[in-house]
Amino acid sequence: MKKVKAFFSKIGAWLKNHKPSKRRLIQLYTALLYNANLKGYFDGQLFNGATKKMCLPGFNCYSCPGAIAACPLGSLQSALTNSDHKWTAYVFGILAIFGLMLGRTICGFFCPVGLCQELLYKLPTPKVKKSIFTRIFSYFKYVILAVMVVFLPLAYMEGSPVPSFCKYICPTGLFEGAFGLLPNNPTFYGMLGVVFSWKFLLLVAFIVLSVVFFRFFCRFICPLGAIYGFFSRVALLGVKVDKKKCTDCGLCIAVCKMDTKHVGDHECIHCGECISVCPTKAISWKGSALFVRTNDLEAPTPEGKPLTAFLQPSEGVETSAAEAAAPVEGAIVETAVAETVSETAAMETQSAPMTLVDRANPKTMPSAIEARAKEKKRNKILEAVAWALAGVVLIGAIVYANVFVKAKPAMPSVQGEICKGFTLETYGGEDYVLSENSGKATVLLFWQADKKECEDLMPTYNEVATRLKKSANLLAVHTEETYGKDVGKWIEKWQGYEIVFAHDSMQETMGSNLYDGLGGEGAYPMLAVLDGAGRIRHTATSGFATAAELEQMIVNNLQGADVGCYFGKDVTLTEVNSGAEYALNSLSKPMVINFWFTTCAPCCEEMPEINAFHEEYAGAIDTIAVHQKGESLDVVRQFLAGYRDIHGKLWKDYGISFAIDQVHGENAETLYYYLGGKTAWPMTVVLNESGYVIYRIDGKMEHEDFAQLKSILDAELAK
Amino acid sequence: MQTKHEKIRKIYGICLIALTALLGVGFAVRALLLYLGGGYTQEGVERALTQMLFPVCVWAAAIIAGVVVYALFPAEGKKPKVGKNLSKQLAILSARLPEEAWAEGKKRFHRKSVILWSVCGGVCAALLFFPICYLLNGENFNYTDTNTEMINAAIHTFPFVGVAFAVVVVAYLLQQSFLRVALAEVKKLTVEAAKAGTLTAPQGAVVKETWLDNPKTLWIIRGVLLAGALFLLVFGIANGGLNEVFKKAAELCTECVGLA
Repeated sequence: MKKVKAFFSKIGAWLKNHKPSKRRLIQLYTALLYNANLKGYFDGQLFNGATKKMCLPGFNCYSCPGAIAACPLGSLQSALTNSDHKWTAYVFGILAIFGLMLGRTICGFFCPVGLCQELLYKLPTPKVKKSIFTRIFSYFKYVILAVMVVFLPLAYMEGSPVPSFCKYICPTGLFEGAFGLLPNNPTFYGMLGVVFSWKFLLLVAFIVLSVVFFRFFCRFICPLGAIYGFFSRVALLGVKVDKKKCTDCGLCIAVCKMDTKHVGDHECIHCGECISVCPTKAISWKGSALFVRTNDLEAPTPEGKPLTAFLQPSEGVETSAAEAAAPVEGAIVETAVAETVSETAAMETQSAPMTLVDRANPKTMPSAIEARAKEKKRNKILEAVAWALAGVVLIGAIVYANVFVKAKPAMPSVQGEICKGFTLETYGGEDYVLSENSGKATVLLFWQADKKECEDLMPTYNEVATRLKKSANLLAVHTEETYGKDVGKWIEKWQGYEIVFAHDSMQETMGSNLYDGLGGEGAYPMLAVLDGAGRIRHTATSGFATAAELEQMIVNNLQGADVGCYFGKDVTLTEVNSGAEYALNSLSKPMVINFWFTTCAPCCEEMPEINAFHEEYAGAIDTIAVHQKGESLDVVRQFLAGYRDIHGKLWKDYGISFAIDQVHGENAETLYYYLGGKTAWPMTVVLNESGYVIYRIDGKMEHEDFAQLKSILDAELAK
Repeated sequence: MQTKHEKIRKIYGICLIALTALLGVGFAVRALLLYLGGGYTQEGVERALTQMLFPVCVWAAAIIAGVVVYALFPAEGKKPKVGKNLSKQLAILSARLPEEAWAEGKKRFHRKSVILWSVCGGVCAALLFFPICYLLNGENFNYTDTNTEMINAAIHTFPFVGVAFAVVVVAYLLQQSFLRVALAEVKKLTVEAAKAGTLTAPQGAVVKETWLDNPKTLWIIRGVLLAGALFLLVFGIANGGLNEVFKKAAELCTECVGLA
């Protein structure tokens, strides 16, 4: 029992000694504030509220579903590569203000990446201590800044920008962005490739190295820390050293885990751990006079000596072998150093008045001490107010992000649903209206001017557009906003293409732009295939890198027997009497195909009406009656020659053509089967001249069916 | 007892770092197998994560065990060890010597340092000349294949940077050896001066203030920087910078999340 009690008391003591410090609480608070869009982790959607116009001071990927503001480094790379040559000074200005106000205090207090690394470093493993090698290597982040953040994005400025650091090195994009988005966006898996694999390996390396190196990423890689490091000496917040009090004992540097040479230099993250170890209290927070008193000595040390007395020169002075053999001379050297140190300490201790007080007896407490006590109380109140305000801000941000900012509206992005009508403004042409293009598939490729993948895909898309010209309208739709880039310049490059270039915009029928309306999740390029009836057949963000893949994707999703589908099969029918051939994949006019067989009574009943319907159109349409497979040519000819309808007319005198179904294609299937026939006879299918199914009916056609077919054919012929 | 506690903690630490490294390698290998085995799919990723679940649980259990280990065998707080700063020692001792005592030696030391760092600077400049030329050559970045161009840029840049860092390290080590020689000389002279009674009085504070420590200068610089920053901010906002940042931030950055 005693042992158990002792065990738990040890655990309790450990927890008490390891309760989070204020700095840790601020770091946690900041991480939560930066990622206040909690619902983003559940719905996989990015936050698109107004706060995303602001840059955060710390490192936080803006493609994290929880992020409520922009990443400063990503924004910087975008600003550098603005191909409009309209210098985006906003990002430079905001970085300068952050640097000036906070400097690398941001790294120590306001960076979630730093927090993660510090937590990993807490794992009790052997650590790699800092040394001159780590100090020299800490300059590598300036190389990363120059090459990956400045040089390389500028090198690609004339074309699609390449944010090199974000794309090839930054681990937060993967850790926050990819891992946050993938569970709710399974379509993204197809887009993961070599870059993801490389960055994943880097992320794993950074995590493992952060366990043994303190803040590995911050010290050696982070370009944002490099930028803020330039402002170290002038930043308003952070730690500072009173050089009049400093004896250069080196304790602050010894206790610091960063590669600092002096407190407050470009490597210092202003965590404040050095403040408590400084024996002369020379280190304090900048601006501390506003809220707290500077570190003062309250009472003399028990030994009655200046605090610097424990810094015996023998700790720092090397003695050579010769001097070791001559202790007298070694002692002389030690004394020479000690005198210098003591002189410094003596000079300073004279300026720091010390008063012996007995706190238990208030009468001995002079007014200065009383004033100090009052100030402490005031500081506690100020701290409480500050935390309360911070809490209000955090709750406000969470409520704003999760309640007031609506997610992109849900749309009929489910395949098989009819797409709501839309109108797209084309570049230099007439508007593209979906309803005016029914009967032919509409293929939409959504793209963005600053995406290399989109630029690469366009010639391929055009190749497919040329081949599928007859059977589909292929459009390239640029996003609603242009990022300030001149999209016209891109389209000029592709002049002469078969593709119709259009511009997305708000669609009243959808309540959003077309991209969002078709379920776009922020990824480009995105392909959407709508059949001739406007039904959404397919949407994809990957799997169409080559012309063959693209064409296959379009054709596979368009082919079918339903209204709006594209027939597209290589089937030729031969007229039984004249021998004329009808190739169904190259029609010159709409074709009515009626399936029948001789012993089918409903088929024989409706045939005269079909003939009358055909004759009404006087050559504007073709009509062919296809007999069921298996019957011989002679039998059918005999039937046609001998069968009279109710008006006494022989079928062989009809204006419509007659053929016999055959097996076609590799799978040896009949045309009846291809066009979706199962057991119903007669069956009538109408193809327009593009090869799309514009009408179908299983069973005998009644009067109203003919009326409906008439209206469809009239609309088709009117185009 | 102390040593035993330290031993236990050390063994635990080594085991934990080995386990962490193994877990990292495990994740890396799984990712590579997925990529090389036909690409990432939801099913494949879920299967891989399921397979890694046990090792992750073991690792988490090891960390929890560490809490117990450190609670039972707590580490004593160690006094921070101040490193040997040879140049500081040299400065302190040489300041106490009579003026002419170490004049020649001082000149020699400074000459060696200047030559060393000049050569180091020259070598680094020469090494960095090639990557800079490569980066400034637009023909190397013509969008043929961005990934390949990046690999080429890395091949033409980072090895040179690595060698430059190595040169700096070597220069630093040489500087340390110069310091040791100078320090030995100064110590000898200090002993002689002390015996002769010619050691000068201690100078006091060794931390010199720079021009940047002047509050007035500091505030002037801050004022100028703040004015410049505010100008950039206002100009950028007027130029539509907010919208540009918004559009980039509100849409998915496929490059950032590894989808490009």
